Order: sequence, then structure tokens, then C-alpha cells
Amino acid sequence: MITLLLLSTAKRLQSRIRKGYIALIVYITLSYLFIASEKGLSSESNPYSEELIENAISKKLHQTRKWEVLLHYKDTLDGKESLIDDPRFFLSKNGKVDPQGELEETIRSLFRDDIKDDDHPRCLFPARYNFLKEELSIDESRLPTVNCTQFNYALNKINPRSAVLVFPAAYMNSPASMFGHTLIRIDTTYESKLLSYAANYAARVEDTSGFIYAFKGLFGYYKGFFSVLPYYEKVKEYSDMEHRDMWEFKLNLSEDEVRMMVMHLWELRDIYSYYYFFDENCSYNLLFLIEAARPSLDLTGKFGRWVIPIDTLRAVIDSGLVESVHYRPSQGSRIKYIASLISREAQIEAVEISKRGADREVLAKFSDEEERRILDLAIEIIHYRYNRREIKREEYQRLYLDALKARSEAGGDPEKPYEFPIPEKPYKGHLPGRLSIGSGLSNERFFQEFQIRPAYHELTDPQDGFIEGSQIVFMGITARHQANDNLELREIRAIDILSLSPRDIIFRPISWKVKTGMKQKIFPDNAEHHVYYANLGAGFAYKNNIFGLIYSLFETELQLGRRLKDDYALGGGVGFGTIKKFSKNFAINISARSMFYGPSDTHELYEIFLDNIVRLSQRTSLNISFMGKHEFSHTLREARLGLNIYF
Amino acid sequence: MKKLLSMTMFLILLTAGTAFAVSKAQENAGCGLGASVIKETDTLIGQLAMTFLNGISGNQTFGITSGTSECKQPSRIVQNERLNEFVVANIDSLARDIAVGYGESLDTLAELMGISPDMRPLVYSKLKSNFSRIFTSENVETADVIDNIVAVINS
Repeated sequence: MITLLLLSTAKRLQSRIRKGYIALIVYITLSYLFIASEKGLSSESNPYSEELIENAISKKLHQTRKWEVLLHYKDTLDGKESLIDDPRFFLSKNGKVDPQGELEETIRSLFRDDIKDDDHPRCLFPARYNFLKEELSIDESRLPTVNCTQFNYALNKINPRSAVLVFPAAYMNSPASMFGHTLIRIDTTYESKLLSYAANYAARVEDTSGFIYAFKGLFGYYKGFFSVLPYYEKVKEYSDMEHRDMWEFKLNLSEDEVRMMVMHLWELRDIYSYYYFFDENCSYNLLFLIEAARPSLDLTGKFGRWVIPIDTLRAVIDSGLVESVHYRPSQGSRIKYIASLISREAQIEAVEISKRGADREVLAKFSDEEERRILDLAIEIIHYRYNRREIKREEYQRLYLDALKARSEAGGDPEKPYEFPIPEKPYKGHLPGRLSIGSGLSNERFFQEFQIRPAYHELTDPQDGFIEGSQIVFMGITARHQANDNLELREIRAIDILSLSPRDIIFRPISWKVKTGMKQKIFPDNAEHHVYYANLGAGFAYKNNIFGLIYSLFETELQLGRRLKDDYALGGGVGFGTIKKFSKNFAINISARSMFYGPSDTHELYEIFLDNIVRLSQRTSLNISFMGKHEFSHTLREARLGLNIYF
Repeated sequence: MKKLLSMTMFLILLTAGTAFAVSKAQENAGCGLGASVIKETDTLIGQLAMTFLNGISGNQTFGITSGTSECKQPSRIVQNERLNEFVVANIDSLARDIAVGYGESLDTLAELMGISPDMRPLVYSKLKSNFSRIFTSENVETADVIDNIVAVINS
């Protein structure tokens, strides 16, 4: 609750900063607005226009949910404000904060005869016009005639029939991608879904310098836009290039509702809002499209100022909107599955073909079925290597065509398409927030522990619905109470990211970790004091059927603290570990590491850790863990039982 | 709170070391195999930034008509811009599906060519066994691929 309050305060501060910028834009577009309001005034004399306005106000149309949805109005402390920042989205000067004035000006604008056809407000804002026409039974013959050629062309080409919410899941070696992304697919009369259109909300980025990019993206300096592209472009992007499995949730919206969605999408064409990673992001803005289709739904109101794509997916599912689910395996998943069907020798042959072309003599040694699978795998790998720019286009064309030709000639019985295994649905994983209550013994002293973690997933959580070996934690705070002591702040993990990606014959990723925060450290006086730390690590991970996911990482660590000699220590060391998942409900993590610190405060750290993870439900799990630690000359042995509650 | 989180995250990106570049330049590479590939710079930190800023796009907004104008137009198919657009943008997966004998891109092609579902197995196997007649060389252009497909089906 307090967090939400803080967040909304920060939000308001930020919007104040933004106002300076907005003022500038308003200034630049002043002439446009000036003309707009001038013309608006000139048509005020039309009696039919005044009649409609009167009617609209008496019906309080500006207070209706539909109007608020179409203009993206949200409650503020003193009224309403639209989340759209682009002044071109509003017909009146104060449209962003004045629903009634905007409604009146919209009606007036319908009578403008100085703007022709495609630029006419009726063509620019078809959903608004449609809404007013229905509510006020507008007699179209009394309005100036306009031809919305561009809009009609787009509507005909998209030919909307139904809508699907698409969730590209996380991809390997990128824990942050576990947050996911959402887009909407608008299906047409075509049977092939590749010919559908995808509506996507994203920040538009011109900078190529990484730092500027990161900074601007996080602080809302980029403008977000809706885009519409053929769905096959999105499949190529997510499934083939980024290796993200795609989950497609068919929504039970009617044809009319989807039509309304497309009309609203047209209104948002080239209209910007400032993009914020944490709240006004891709997923949040997409919900407006669903609300425009069915205004009785309040999806955007369900969120505070912290929106994670997977939560928007859950909100849509909870609203009873989802009719059916379809899974589209990514190229990465396809490669892994096909490789799992063939022997190691055959896998090596596939890699060989992807580098040197198909050798018919070697292939003849395998069975027909295995030969086909080897070639299927080789085809995917060649494509993958080209995507990663490991090979040039000429080489790609030669190798790809060579493998395809061999595949087209491969014989055998009539074949069946692969049946790719469907992983646990991403929304079935545990919820992102975690509260833990634990207790145990630390060197024979009893302790109780409280932990809170707003987001998102770590190795001590049940893994289903997330990527194995991936962890991303923001602001994990641990406090501990020991017998006869006060409650002590034990650790703040500001950021704790770990990515363990197994290497195999085909994929060669580097595993890595980034961690920073504040923790208690045992010092030679046998007491614990706070130090700040930043830890980086990199290494390798492998998947083994018996031992699970095994890994080794080299680490470096910087510690800052007044108890340290010269106030700092630099450390280096190595860690090993394994994660073994026995079932959906039970897994074990074992890890060990040793670190050496210097240069002036020289000391060592040895640590061994064993953790049992028991999943009880989507909202609860248990950790039973044992830890041994030797630091300076102090040895600590600890056993802990913890209950995790997810929210 | 949000600012604090943003700041911490930004600092992490800074402390994480080397400069990284993220670009999503559309590779404009003609009209054959390998033409339709978008690729972003693939560094570790680049990836991290990419995903933190989930949903970053290039400049295209309403791509309701995708361009095929820079490509040669097929001769035999008349008035089927959608088919042409689809093949230009999906030539690589279509080539794979033809070689394998089934797949989503091949189904899409068949639908756009108006081949009825009961005819498709026959057409697919015909295309598969004539793969080399359709994809005649490494740098075959999409327009020729379409023409060749039509020729094979009609043969």
C-alpha cells in the first residue's frame, strides 16, 4: 500500500517534470491549435451542432465509461486526465484534462467543412464518431460529406473478425525477458493466422548509443506508439530471432467489438504517449484496445503504478475473456526438441551439415527418419547462425539451399509433423511478489526472519512458468530477529540477476550474474556489520540428466564499508552449483563458493548452501535450507525453514 | 520508489562495463533468401538493456501494406499483391516448408493461391519433389520463385 502511494507520488513528480516538455510541444503546435479552435468557433453557429451538444450534455455522455475509455481518461486527485500525451489526439485545447470540453469540440468538429476527407476529424477519429452517432442518433445527411478513403482501405484490408492476445514468453539467457511482452493479433477471414495483423505498443527509439537508450527508456524520455504489422513479421521477430515461445490467447470478443478495437487503433495512429518501463508500458497500453472493444471491462483500472506484462495477461484471463490457448514454439524450442529426438552422433552430423553442407554418403548411414531429423535440425541451425550474423548472406544462401535440397530428396515413409511438447503455461507460475516468514538455528541460536521481494523470480522459487536457471530480483529485503537481539536489517538486494544457460552442441551461451545491494558481514570482532557490495560473475552451465543444471561461475566483488580496512575490499573467486528439479513440486539447489578479498583487508570466504524447494500451490512454497559459512576466522552453521507467500 | 528502481537499474547497466549498442536496423538485402532478416546487436549488456526496455520498435507504425516495390514482380500471377507480399517477407520459411512438404507458410501460400484443402497434399508433394525447379539457384528472386511454383503446379 505504502509502495503504491510512493509510486504514485513519484509518478506525479515525474508528470510535473514532463509538463515542461509538454508545454514546449504545446507551444510548437500552437498555431495548429489556434487554427483548430478558431475554426471550431466559426461552426458554433450551426443549430444542429448546438442541438447535439445540448443533447449530449443532458445525457452526460462525457461522464460515460465509453467516452473515458476512448480518450484514455483516468481519475486524478482533482478530476480527469488522459494518459495520452500527444495534443493531436484532442480536438479541444484542454482535451487532456477536460472530458466535457473535448466532447463538445468533437461534436462541433463534425460540422467542419474547411478540412477535407482523410484529414477530417470524422476520418481521424472513427471510434469517437461511431460512439456519438449511436448515442445521439446523428442524422448523417445533416453533416458535411466526407470520404475516409485511407481509413476504409485499412479497415477493408485488415478485415477484422476476432482478436487474440499474444504473449511472447521469456528467452534463454535473458532473465529480464521473463517479464514478458504482450501484443494483440487481429484475425481476418483467412484461415492462416500468419496473415492476421498484430497491434503492438512500443517505444520508438532513434538513439543508437546504449547508455542514452537505457537512460531515456527508464525515465520516460521515449515516446510510445502503436504499430500495426502483419503477424508474420512478429512471428519472425519473436519466434525466429529472439527465440521466445509465443502463447496465443483467443479472446471472446464479437466481430463488432473487434471492429471497434480497430477503429480505436486507427485513432491512435502516430499518436504518442511517454513510455515508462514500469507502468505506462507495452502491456498496460494494450489493455486500452480491449477496453475500447468492450468498455464494460475495466482492465486498466486493476493496476496500480506497477505493471508487469504477465499480470495484464492474468487480468485478461480473470475477466473471462479467453476462449482458447495456442502454443507456438520458438526456433530455440524447435531446435532443442528435434535435437532431443536423435542420437549425439546425429546431432554432431547436423552441426557439421550446418557448417559444410550435406554429405549424402554420411547421411546414408542413418535411418530415413533420422536423416530427415538431422536435416531438419541442420536447416534450423543454419537459419539461426545467419540470424546471429555468424555467417554471411552468401554462405547462408548456399548452405540453406543445399540442406533444403537434401531434405526435399530425403526418402522414407510419409511423415508426421513434429508434436512439440507444450511447457507449463506462463501465467500458471507463482505470482511475482513474495513474502517469506522463516525461522531456524544459527550456530545454535534461534532466529526468526522476514523477507519481502516485490518482484520477480529466483532460484529458491518453484521454477514452472519461468526459465530454468534464471533469476531476477528487485529490492529483496531481509530482516532477522535473533534471541535477545533487536530486529536487524540483514540484507537489501537492490538487484540480483542470475542467468544460467546450459551449453550444448548447438548453443554456446555464457552464464552470468549481476548483483548489488547491502548486507551484513561477519568481522573479526565476531559481530556483524553492514557493507555495500556489487558482484559480477560469468561462467558456464551444462544440463545433465542425473545432476540437473550444473554450473560454475567466476566472480568479482567490490565491498564498501567503514569496518573494512581503507573502507573497501576487492574480491575474486569461483562458485559451483547444481539445480536439480525432481518434479513440478520439488527441486534441490546446491552451491558452494570461495572468495578471496584484498588488497589491504585480506580475508577469505567459504560458503556452502543446500536448499530444498517444495511447491505447495501457485501462491505458496517452502524452503528448507542449510548453510555453512567461514569468513575471517568465524564459522557459521545455519538451518532454516521458510514459508513463501506469493502476491 | 520507481525513480529509485530506475536509477539503480541504470547504474547497474553502467557498472556492468563496456559500452553497448542496440540497433534494430532493417537489413535491406534484396528479394531472395535471407532478405527478410532483422537483427539487433547481440551483446550481453545489449540484451539486458533490450529486455529491460521491453517492446522497443523501429519506426514503422501502420504497415498495412508492406512494400514489395523494390522487388521484381512475378509475371504469371496477376492481381495478387498479398501473395507477393507474403512470399517476399517469408521466402526463407516457405523454402523450408516446400522442402519438408508441410508447414504453416506452405498452408498460407496455398490459401492465397486458392488451392482447396483436399488438393493440398498432392500439390505439396509435387512442389517438394520439384524443389530444385522452384529454387533454381542460391540467389533466386522471389518473383521467379512464384512463377516457378505456378509452373510446377500447372505442369
